[in-house]
Amino acid sequence: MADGIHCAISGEALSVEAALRFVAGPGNGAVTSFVGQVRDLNQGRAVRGVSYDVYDALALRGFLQLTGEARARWGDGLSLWLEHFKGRLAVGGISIVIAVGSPQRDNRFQACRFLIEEIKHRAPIWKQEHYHDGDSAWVQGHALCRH
Amino acid sequence: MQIRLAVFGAFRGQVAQSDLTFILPDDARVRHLRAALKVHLRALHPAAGDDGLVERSAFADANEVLDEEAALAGRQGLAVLPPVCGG
Repeated sequence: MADGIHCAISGEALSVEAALRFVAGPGNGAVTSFVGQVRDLNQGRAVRGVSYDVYDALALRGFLQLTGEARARWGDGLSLWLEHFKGRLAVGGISIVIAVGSPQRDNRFQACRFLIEEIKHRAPIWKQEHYHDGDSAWVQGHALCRH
Repeated sequence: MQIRLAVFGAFRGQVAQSDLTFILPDDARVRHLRAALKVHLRALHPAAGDDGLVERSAFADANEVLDEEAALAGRQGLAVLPPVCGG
């Protein structure tokens, strides 16, 4: 993994503090972060938890590719942290942590937004919502198809 | 040749195991695997396929998402990937 870049898929609780420490630096005036959490309502259904399924090897490769693309667009000086949870979370649980450090805030915001949007469309990750009525359903997503 | 295909997401609800095994010709391509998967799922559940999930899914190995004409021979970590929704 390139210096200043951390990417991981984890079944352990994600740490926002670790992410902020990693991307902080004496030359960075601030850090920008995105922290995704399980919400209690989706499309009118009361949610009690979400299970995340991940194709680890391909997802990690994709994360590294995305962080490389972010540096190519917004500079090699970006420090980047990208972790996604795998397994089941209750409402409020943290599913993803993205943190970006750089001297310029515009680069930070744009890179952070780029990473979360691209992950939603390109990373091999799936959500199964568990509802209070006992039902469960896989969330409709974005097709990866190249055919 | 024997192909092991890992399943993820919504496909987990349709098959009892985490991967499926197919016997295909040595020159088989992704489109052949897609067709074999449709037949397999239809045999398990007569209504399988009505939702178009197989058509909307991609196939990949451990390195990349594959084109429909990509050859399967020698690839490791083949998987069928339904539409994604990380984050």
